[in-house]
Amino acid sequence: MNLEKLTIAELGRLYRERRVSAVEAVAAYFKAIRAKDGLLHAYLSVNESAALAQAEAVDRDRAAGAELPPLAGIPLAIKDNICLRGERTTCASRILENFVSPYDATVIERLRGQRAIFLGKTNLDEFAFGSSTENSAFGVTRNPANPEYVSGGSSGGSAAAVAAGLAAAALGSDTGGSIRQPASFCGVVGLKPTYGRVSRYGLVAFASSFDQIGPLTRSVEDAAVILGAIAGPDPLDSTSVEAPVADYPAGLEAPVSGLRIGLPREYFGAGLDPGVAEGVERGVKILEKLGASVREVSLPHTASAIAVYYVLAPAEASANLARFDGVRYGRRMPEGATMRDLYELSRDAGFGKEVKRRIIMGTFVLSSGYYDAYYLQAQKVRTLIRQDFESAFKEVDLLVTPTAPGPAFRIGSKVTDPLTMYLSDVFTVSCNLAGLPGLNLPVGRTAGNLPVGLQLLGPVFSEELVLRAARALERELGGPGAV
Amino acid sequence: MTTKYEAVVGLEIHVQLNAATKMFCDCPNRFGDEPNQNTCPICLWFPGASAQLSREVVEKAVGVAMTLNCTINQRSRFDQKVYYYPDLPKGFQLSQFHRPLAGNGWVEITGEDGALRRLRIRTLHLEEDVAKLVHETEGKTRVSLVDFNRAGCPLVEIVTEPDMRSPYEAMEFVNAIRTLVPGAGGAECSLERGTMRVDANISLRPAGSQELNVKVEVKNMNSVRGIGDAIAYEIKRQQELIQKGEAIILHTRLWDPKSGRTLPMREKFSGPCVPDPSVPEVVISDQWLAEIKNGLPEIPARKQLRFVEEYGLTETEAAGLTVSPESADYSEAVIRAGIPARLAAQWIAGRLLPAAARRGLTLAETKITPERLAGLLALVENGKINPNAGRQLLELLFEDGRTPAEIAREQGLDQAADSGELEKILARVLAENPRAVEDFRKGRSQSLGFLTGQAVRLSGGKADPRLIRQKLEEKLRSE
Repeated sequence: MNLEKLTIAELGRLYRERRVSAVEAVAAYFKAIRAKDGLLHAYLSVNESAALAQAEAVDRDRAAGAELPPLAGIPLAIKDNICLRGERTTCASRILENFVSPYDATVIERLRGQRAIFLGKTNLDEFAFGSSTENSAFGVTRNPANPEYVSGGSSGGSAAAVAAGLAAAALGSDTGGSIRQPASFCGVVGLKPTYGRVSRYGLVAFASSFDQIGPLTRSVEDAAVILGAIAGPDPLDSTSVEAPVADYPAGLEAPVSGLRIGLPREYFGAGLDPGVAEGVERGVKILEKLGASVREVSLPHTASAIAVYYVLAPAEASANLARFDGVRYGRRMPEGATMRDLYELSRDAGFGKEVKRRIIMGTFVLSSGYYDAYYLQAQKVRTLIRQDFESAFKEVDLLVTPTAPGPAFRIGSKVTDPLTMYLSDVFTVSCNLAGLPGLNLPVGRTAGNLPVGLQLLGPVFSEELVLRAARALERELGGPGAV
Repeated sequence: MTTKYEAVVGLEIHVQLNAATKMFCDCPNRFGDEPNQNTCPICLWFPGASAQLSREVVEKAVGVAMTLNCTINQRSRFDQKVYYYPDLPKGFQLSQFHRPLAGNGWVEITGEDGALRRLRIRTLHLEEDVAKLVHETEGKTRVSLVDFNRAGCPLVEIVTEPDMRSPYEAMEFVNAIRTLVPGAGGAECSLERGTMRVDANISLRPAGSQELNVKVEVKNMNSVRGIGDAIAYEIKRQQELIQKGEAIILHTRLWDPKSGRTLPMREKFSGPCVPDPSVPEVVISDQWLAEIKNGLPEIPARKQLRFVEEYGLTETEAAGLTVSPESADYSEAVIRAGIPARLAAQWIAGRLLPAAARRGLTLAETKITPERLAGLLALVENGKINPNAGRQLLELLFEDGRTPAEIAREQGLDQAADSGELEKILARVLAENPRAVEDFRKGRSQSLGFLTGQAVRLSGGKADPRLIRQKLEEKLRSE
């Protein structure tokens, strides 16, 4: 039996039936990591002894007859911008290369409460700035479907780990598509929850009004299980919302007949990869067959989304990254004679090229004289984009779009052209601008055997509905991992 | 013909709120602890940490704003004031710039002409404090150390309109804040202890004009007198520049109390000020606002009534003692020490408070604790010293930390009260030494020394020779 290819639900059943122990599963994962991760580089760090100790404790308690939560003993990978107490949290940046977090993020605390097991920390674009994991200071993560191709980004390590069987599931973070786009490139389920649904406490902030933590999984059900474990208000994150947490797995199999699906016309223009278009079309047909009605809708400000995003997100990032100054933690360059040297040398040596680019962009749009023209203007357009969705959701229940305009691209093919790279987020950023939930579901492969994904977008706090529609599609497509 | 200039002064006052915790985390808002003891991932701004605004901080700030007659903005927001300095753990300070907590307030002061002047407050907003930098030398290496205990502690910043026209008015404004804000129970407001910091913006303009000219900011004043002196110095400095035809340049200066001068200060690099996306809008419901209002401590009027009823004082006397919560508490401590309320009232309102005000000190800043004043008043009450000597003794208590009885004895104030006995001694000395008296009248002044010596001897050495000499001389000349 290939333990490392099972879903959380399947592995959990084997645990409950005492056919497999958590120690066996963890050992199988580390065997797979040793075999494959030298090439893929999904992980930045692993902690085998801690994982085995956690697994032994779970097995012991299970043997003693304890009733354990659904995630007990499930081996997970965590994006390395989420803090785990006592583990390095590098954000794939030299400036935090040796930073050990003194505390657990709220999501980690909640998963610990569920007795989940943490295998290690996964690779990302430095500080989550990127769409290919090529901006990691510690090397690219390769796509398990084809190692010559990128895994997407910024949660490329998490997506690759789940796709390649190096973790049962993973946490990622999504600021402009960083869960959904790599999920689409690697062929896994990726869910970005509604802004405020999951606590951001302990997630190293990129853009605080966009960031959300979410699961990358091999099945829709697994995404529902993890979301249920991590969602809910948190006094430590004052942007987390007091909305009730549904029993997400419970509603998954409900029918989707009568559901109103909208296809935003602006997402189906020229330049869409034929493989992607075909996959999305297949998904739409399935939903129709299942009794959903499909109609075209318009989100007229879509064309501005990338511009708005790349004004606002770097603006927030430039302030969020101001704390990395070499004074209290992280990389410090000691050669300087003055305080200014300390800042300049530490930040120059610590930050990579894309990070510097975004800090400069962010500082520029916030500087006096440009603030009104860029930052304030972008805020206004953000409101318009949000209103576009509000109007659309008066007509339809969910939107279906491609997750990315194309499949994974070849490593190195876009690194010299940041603007083209930024356009990989064209279908995902609006969801973050509006704070909506969005999910990537694998729906097929290109002629070159690269995964393509379909994106479901719903109104705020409609995760249940999004997951239910995704589950219906997944079932019709042959079940988890079938495409 | 020379133009007459008038000063235009506005103040920016930072007041530390005495909430139990810091503004955005649960660390204690407390001073004097070991460096970096009161810190956590949030106030050190470790990666991943985010802010949670304390409800108590908002309540205290609203209380202060209400006390200063401000309009409360029921929706306010935090902004990021971006600058790079090691006292700032996250590269920006959370403050309220674009949408402050409160504004349009005022306080009234008595102007130099005795008329009431209303000075306006433009805004009152929340702001987090920064860390404290300590510069030391380890061996031969100069090191800068950062103590983050203060980082994230809650402040309100009070920004006035440029309504003040003299150092006096600025000092009176600060005195009014020091009286009113502690009364709201939200803050201590001690310049000396740094729980209140005052920066002044000063410019000049031709008298009578309405223009606002380039201003200079002056910082680092740690007493009310220092504020007055710094402003006076800056006015003079600007006048001289204008007379020389030089331009006033917008910048910040530091007051140096030792040299009595202001010196230009190196500016911190300062960046944008943009809305913070992480701390939600501060929304104060009508109900919450009412709760805060009802929770404000005993207002002076109510306290005054209690003083009349409890201590049998007249309304005027009670009013004199309850001008501030500090003076009210002080008076009650003196009364508890066994001093009759009326005597305490006369001395505190009539003598102590004016004497402290002349020195630019609050009661807490003087050496005169309630116990020491009670000591002095006990001497008066028991007739050990007379009221005149008591007044002298009060002045001495400002400088000398010993007990009132000790000082009175040393200064010969105690037996001046027993004037009957002294008079007897003097009469006896004059009667018993007719030759010496005669010599003095003939112009041999050294005989005064002899007579003084005799009197001191008769008093058993208790008498103050200077006083005796003075009294004897008065008597000899008047006869």
